[in-house]
Amino acid sequence: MRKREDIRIGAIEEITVTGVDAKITDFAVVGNVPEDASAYYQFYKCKVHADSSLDLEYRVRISISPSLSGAETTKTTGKMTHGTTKEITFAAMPPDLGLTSDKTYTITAVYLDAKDPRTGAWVNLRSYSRSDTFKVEKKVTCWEKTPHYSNGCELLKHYANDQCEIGFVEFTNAASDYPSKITVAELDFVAKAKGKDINTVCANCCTPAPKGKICDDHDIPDTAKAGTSIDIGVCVENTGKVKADFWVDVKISGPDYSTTLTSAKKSIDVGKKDKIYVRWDLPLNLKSGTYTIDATLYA
Amino acid sequence: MAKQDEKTIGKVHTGFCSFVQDILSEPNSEKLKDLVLAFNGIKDLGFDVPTKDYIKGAVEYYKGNVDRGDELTPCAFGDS
Repeated sequence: MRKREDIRIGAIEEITVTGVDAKITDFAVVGNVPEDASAYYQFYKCKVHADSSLDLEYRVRISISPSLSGAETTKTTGKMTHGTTKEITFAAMPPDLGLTSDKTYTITAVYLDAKDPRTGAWVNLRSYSRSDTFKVEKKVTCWEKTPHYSNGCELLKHYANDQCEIGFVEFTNAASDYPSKITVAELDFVAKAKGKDINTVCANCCTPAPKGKICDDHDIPDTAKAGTSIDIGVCVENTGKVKADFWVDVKISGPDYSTTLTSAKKSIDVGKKDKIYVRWDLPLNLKSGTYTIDATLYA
Repeated sequence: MAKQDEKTIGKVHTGFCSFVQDILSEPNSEKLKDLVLAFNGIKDLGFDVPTKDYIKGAVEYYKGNVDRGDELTPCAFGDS
């Protein structure tokens, strides 16, 4: 049987197919990440521009060379309205890699996928060849030199308060010094001490300053007679973390009279209250009146 | 040396103020009488009653007007 020639029997209609025009722009390295990180740190970002007419869900994938444990490599955008843009960031919380120095990683490729709303399957739309590098910074330790301090202990002491603690304020100070004054590895080391006494992170690193307050249980007579002497006991509480010597200045002021008496030093244990006494010799010619007693505590 | 804390911790009343202090809690006209006698040099209470304002002030304390008494005398019971 002889094959018949192909014969065009007539076009019904021509169909113009337009490709999905979603794309990625603004690839950028955000910063380095620390080894043995205590939290996720951003290292890469880009912008996804949705298709101009379809509302789709997108996915961005990155390839890192060499591979990095603890790094995000896939992020989804959620459903994006056509014509909109969304910034995507990638973060990493690398484990202890045993680094002896900072190690460079490269983002070699970025992929843009879209989810087919009919099948739910991810379909690759575009691939971008990249060569964006960032570093995993060697972790900071208590007694080794850091990029900006003689060791990790000194770094913690720089930000700790006088009680050797890193609280919210102290950590905020460190965070505001990044990246101009400290590296991300240094910041992460401070983060590990947040909410703690830094001696629990680096033993015997810091000596807290004495700290005390004037408490309320004083020993003061209501009345006194000119020409006599009275003892004035000031209640002092050691609110710090170390046993310390305290002393008080007691200022007595009344009608045409003012004097300041200084006590001897008294050692008070941590968390204890005690009274520190001064002796007031009332002059014979002291006037009738009410004399106010002000105390100043020193340590 | 580091300053740790600073506050007013109390008051001490001397002479006349020590004498009238309890009038506030236990009004006692005998004390007023003694003050008048002391002002006139008839009785020695161990302190001076130099002006009539001291007696007027003691009367105000007797009546419960502490602030007015404090204005007239060198005492300060009102904010203690």
